[in-house]
Amino acid sequence: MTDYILEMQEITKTFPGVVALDKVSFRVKCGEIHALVGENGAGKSTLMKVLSGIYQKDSGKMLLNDKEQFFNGVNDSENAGIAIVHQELNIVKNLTVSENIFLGSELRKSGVKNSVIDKGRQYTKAKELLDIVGLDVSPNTQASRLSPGQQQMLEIAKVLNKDASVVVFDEPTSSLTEQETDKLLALLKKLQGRGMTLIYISHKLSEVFRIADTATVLRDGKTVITKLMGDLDENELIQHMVGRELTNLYPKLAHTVLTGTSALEVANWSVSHSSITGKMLLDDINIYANKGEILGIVGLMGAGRTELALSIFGADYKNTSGILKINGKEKKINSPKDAIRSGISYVTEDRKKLGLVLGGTIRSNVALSNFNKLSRFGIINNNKEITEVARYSKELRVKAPSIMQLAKNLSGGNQQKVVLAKWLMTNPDILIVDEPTRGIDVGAKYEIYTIMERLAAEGKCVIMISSEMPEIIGVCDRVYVMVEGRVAGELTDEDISQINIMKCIQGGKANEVS
Amino acid sequence: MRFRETINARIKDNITQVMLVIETAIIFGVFQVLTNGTFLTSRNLTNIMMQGCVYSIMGIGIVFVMVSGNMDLSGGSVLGFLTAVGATMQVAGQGTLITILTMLLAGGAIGVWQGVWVAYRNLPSFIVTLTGMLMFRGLCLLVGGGATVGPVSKSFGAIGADYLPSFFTDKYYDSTIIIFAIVIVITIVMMFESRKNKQKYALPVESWPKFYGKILLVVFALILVAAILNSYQGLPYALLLLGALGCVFTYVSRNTVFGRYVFAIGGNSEATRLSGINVKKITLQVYILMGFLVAVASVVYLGRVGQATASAGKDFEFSAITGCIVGGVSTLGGIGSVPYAILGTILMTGLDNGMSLMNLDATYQYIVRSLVLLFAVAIDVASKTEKKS
Repeated sequence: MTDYILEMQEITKTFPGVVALDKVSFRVKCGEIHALVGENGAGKSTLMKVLSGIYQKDSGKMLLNDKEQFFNGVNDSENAGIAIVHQELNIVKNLTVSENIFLGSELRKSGVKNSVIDKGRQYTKAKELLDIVGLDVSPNTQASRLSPGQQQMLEIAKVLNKDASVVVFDEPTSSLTEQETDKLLALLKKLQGRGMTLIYISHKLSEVFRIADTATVLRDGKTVITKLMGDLDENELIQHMVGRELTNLYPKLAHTVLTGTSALEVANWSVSHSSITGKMLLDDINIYANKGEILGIVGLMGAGRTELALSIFGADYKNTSGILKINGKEKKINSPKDAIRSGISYVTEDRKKLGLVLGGTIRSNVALSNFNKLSRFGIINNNKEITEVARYSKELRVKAPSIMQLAKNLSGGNQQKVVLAKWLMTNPDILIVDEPTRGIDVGAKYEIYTIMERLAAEGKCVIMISSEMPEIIGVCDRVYVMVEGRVAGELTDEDISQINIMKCIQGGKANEVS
Repeated sequence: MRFRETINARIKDNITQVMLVIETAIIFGVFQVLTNGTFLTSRNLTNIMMQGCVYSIMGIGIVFVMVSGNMDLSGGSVLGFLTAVGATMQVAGQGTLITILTMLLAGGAIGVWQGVWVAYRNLPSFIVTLTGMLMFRGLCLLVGGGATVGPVSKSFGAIGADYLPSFFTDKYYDSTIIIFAIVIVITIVMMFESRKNKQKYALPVESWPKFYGKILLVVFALILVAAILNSYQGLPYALLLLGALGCVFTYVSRNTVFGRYVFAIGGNSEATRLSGINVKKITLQVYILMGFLVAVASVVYLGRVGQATASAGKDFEFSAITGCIVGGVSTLGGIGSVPYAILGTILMTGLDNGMSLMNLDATYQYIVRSLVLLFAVAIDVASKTEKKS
């Protein structure tokens, strides 16, 4: 009898042309939190899909409690006690919290009323589960009214209901705020205390260090190392992930802010809610950004950061009021086209939904915003298009066999680079990037910071919206903290720290109360 | 096991081509047997191509509409209305040119009408064009008075029914041969040029055997069509028009900014909007293009039939849409090609024609056609959505 609850031995999985997993070994002890880390494309997701039975392994052995398992689908693995909390939440928003928890495993009444749902029993059971995960809402609340963080908790409650002994968490914090993340991590510790075994996949190494007992690193479909967290430090872990020593997480900042040369300025900028009268999405915002500056905008989810970007970009919120100045001159921007013409580009938050035509090629995606340069009289200059797109994707080091590769077949980091290439080709003076590094690996993050740094050094203005404090602190010259549609504070240089930002956020809320 | 997976992947990647070949083989084979050989005669095949012209021209418009992620169900009714307008003008003694211009203009105006509702009022295109289907059938009855209007003048009829005259000899149709020879040469030259250009920029190209195979196939198909036409009465003007429109709109879809925008909107309309493209304007333009092409189809149809009836164009949109889907245009938007859509619509004309030749009752014709569309869409959806467990 070993003390491993789960053993995956020499798992190999190939797809036509690619070895996704090459004799991967992955062993998880009973009752531990085991982190699975690696860059995008390292094979983490594939391994978890083999574990849950979505993919069938080509060779290797999978033992659960020392018994060999053959899963032919999610049902098999769930019956064996393995559950996965996916990165994309599977919540049916128009159902209530309790209906979501019991979806597919509804509690029924006994006897002749067997096909009738026992709402009373569901309510009580749901309440119990919600108490465990610390979600303080009624089971009858409609799921659409929950915040992303609460939805994540609901997802966990669903898993608890399945009575799983091994639970996999795939990037559970990627859309959570700092506070929600803290809450989630505390919950995971609590679940561990209840005897559950957790597998934790995350790009955020700080979280891994906070909660995991053991870590396994995958790289290029192979297991690199499995080690106790106590014997590891962050640098060593990163080194194992990227396979080389990465001396810095952030590029050296060499640009100089051209103070007093305002590239973008908004004054008395307000956006009212389209349907709720009196509610302000943005309330009297007054900010500026200099040439040669990397300006950060931080805040909790729903603080109005994306709304600010979209309204400046002319993409949404027709009921906007206020003055917008570019290079000191007042401008009216009514559409993204106007914005691009005025030198503003906006890299959207959700690259799959808002940034890319996934079924299109790299070529068509990058060219999309740039046909004013790549065509004459509406006819595309194919040669110019190909050479320009190739030049930009080479410059940004997009990894793909050719520019005819479909966007949906690229990894997250490469997809983000394609979006960036599209916007860099428009040659913007002001580049707004919204959560540019969400869900991409350390190496690609570094490259994206480098691009931002280069733009600033060229005297351009970069505005970064981000929920990841370390990157804000690592690359920004100046930061605005937003709280509930208002600017609650401004921090510069050395003052930019996690503590100061949190203070601003808390202070901003306190003001509201008084 | 591995071998089967590769084969399956290959089929999935080329699902349109594979299905076209299978369907052609089935339709031609089955009808040849069931009609005791009347199906595969040069007379009937020419006939199919001429009938198919109307569907195909409408189909070109459908390609743009569907690729942009929309739908148009009104094509048949609009065609009925426009033929009624054209025939009425002809009977009233208006000239051929002015009649055609009026029809084209009216088609464009109908496009504006439907396009504004879809693009600027955000109504589902399915509903807007469903109302259009009723409205223009009603207007067709209003203009034609429910009766048959005709005949059209000789010069008008020529567009839909006449054949290109011979240049030098009356023994065979030299004009057809010359035109097809030119087309074949241009096609080969262009295929080589495009391959050379791709290699120059290090873009992926197909292997030499596949490339030569493709050329041989295209040339063989063109020669086959030329031979069929030549053993009957030569090249009809309508087919020449379809060929020209096919080339122009293939080019528009691939090499113009408008074409790229249409594909991008169908792929992800929100991302396209945020890339600085006026999605509403492009959508309106797509509907204007559709209206214009239906007008061209109406001119050809009226020329061939010579008169307008109350039920003219009924179910035409069905054949055009089915043909496009069989030709690989995705119901989910973002994917489609003009040449394959033309092949698809001609094939569907073959199906209709074969069933008529067999004297199959209309009852069963409806059922067969509905099943063909259903299966075509099922194949499209199955091949384009990832397998979910």
